[in-house]
Amino acid sequence: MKKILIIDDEPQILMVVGTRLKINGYAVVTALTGEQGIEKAIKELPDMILLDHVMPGMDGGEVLDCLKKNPVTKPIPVLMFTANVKEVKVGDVQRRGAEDCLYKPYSSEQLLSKVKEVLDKKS
Amino acid sequence: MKKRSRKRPKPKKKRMPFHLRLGACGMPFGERKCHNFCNMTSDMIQVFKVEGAILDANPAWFHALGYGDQDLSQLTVFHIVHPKDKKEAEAIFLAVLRDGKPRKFQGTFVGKSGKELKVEGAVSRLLHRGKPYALSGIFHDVTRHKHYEHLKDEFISTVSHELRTPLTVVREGVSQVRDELLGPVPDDQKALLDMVLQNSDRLARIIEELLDVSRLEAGQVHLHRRLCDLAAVVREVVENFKIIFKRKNLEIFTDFLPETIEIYIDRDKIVQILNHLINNALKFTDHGHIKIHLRVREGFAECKISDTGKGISPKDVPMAFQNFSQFDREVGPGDRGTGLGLSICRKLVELHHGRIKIESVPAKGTTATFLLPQYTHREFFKDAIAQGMSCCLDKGSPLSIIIFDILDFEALEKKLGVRQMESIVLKMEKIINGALRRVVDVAIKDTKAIMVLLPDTPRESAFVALGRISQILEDYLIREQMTPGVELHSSVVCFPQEAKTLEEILDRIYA
Repeated sequence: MKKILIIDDEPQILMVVGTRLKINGYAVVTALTGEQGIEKAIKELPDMILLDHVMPGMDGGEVLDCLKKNPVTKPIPVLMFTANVKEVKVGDVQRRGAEDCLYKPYSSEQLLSKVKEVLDKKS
Repeated sequence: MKKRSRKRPKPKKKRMPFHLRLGACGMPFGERKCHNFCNMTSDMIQVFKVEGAILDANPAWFHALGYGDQDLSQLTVFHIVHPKDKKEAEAIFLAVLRDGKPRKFQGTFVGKSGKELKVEGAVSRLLHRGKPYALSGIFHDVTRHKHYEHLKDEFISTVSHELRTPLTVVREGVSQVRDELLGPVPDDQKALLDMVLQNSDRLARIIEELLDVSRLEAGQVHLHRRLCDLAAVVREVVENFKIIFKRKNLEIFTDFLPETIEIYIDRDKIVQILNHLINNALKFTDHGHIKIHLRVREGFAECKISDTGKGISPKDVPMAFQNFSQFDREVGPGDRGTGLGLSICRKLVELHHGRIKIESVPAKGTTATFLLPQYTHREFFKDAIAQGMSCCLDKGSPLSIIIFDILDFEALEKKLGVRQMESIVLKMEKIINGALRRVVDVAIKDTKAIMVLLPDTPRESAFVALGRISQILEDYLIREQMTPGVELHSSVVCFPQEAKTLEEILDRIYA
């Protein structure tokens, strides 16, 4: 079973996205802050990370840089998700090391197909 | 009787005070009217030498900046212009003095008390005995306007961002219940949940389009144009719509002549326009077909999307491009638009210096046509630099341009042929565009040179990029066994550090 770490400061997002992924056969780990997310990424070594962009404290961009600098977490593919459609560009996050970007609000089909795409690419 | 011819003495021409000689600003008035205008207008008017000495100003100028008559002799225009705008102002003043063409100025003035005023206006040249003598400027205080504009942008941006997250939770939560992830749901409740999902999608679309309109109106949308095949872009968009056409039992015809139309466009923006127009055609057509024509006419690429739908009444056609305009909405369920789509389309087409129109016959159908100019490489070169300069001026940041020239181009062209040389330059343009790291950077080819535009990049950083790109190009030439033979020369021009106007930049490029 593939393990996915979701990092988002909105507990309700963690709940709905987590439920959708669990029902579709993934194991889910969640983190409410960027700092907590980095810790869990090192400890749990998930197969992929879903990372929110706008968060208090460490934002998604900083978390991504941190994950990509650490040799332990560097190979884990990261799928950014953000509500900031205009500021966060797919090309920019890819240059920083993320695989792709999913914009809120997204449909469950979009979420599942992106997750599958990223995991398939990894394997 | 002898008629006495008494010649009336000609009135002696009075030397006009400076503040009356504002004819050069384009005011079609007589002297007295001009005088009254200068005294009564709320716009700031100043007359100054290009070195900076202020010769005269109108009452609104003194009032807005808090200076008195006695201050004028010690003031220069550079005490008034904010230090961050000084370089740009100098460049504009010199250019106006040189060619006499009035130019716009946007920036910040600093008053006597240190108060900052955002101003917009124009500077023009005054002649004395036919020779350039001084400059006159008319400026409008837009401080409050800019403040409100900023508040509006911030508001729309924050609101749309803050709405998206709860919308995700609503959409996903309802969707999980609808998909029976939490237990069986009767059909009548499913229908209700479908309605919630449809409306949350509509809300998401409104947020998206509202943000688009707000950014377009604020001039914050900048194009990232590349050489693209417009026909291929249209084909791709049409392909994505095929399932929906099939579902609605509608036919779609395409007619492209020629089959390939190379044009400088922002691909994503053109896709957005096509999506809006095809979606509109789909929405209002229940029977028949939708046709997409692509032609090249008099320097423009023309794209026509016509449908056999219910059409728009003639009185509504002129309003089609206004924000929130929706026609013939039907009572009851169905696809609802936001009324912003066509307004966005027009703004995006105009950003490409193109035109868009709607023609419609009720009960017969509607045709939406947009035309995009097919620039030559050189025209595009010039336009792209001008656009890059204006973006950088807005931000107060430098623009660096790297130029790669092929040495002995003519001799090589004789040896290898025009086609071969064209394909080498095109390939190099593609390689450079692939090597650029930011979305805003772009490489554009001319006949024998390639220009790389690097906005927000100081000269030193441009040299770092130059080193990296040169290496990639060298590798390509070696791989293709074109060395020795094809040799490159490169240079960097930085705006405003080394060249202050478009003409100066072009002179440096073609030197």
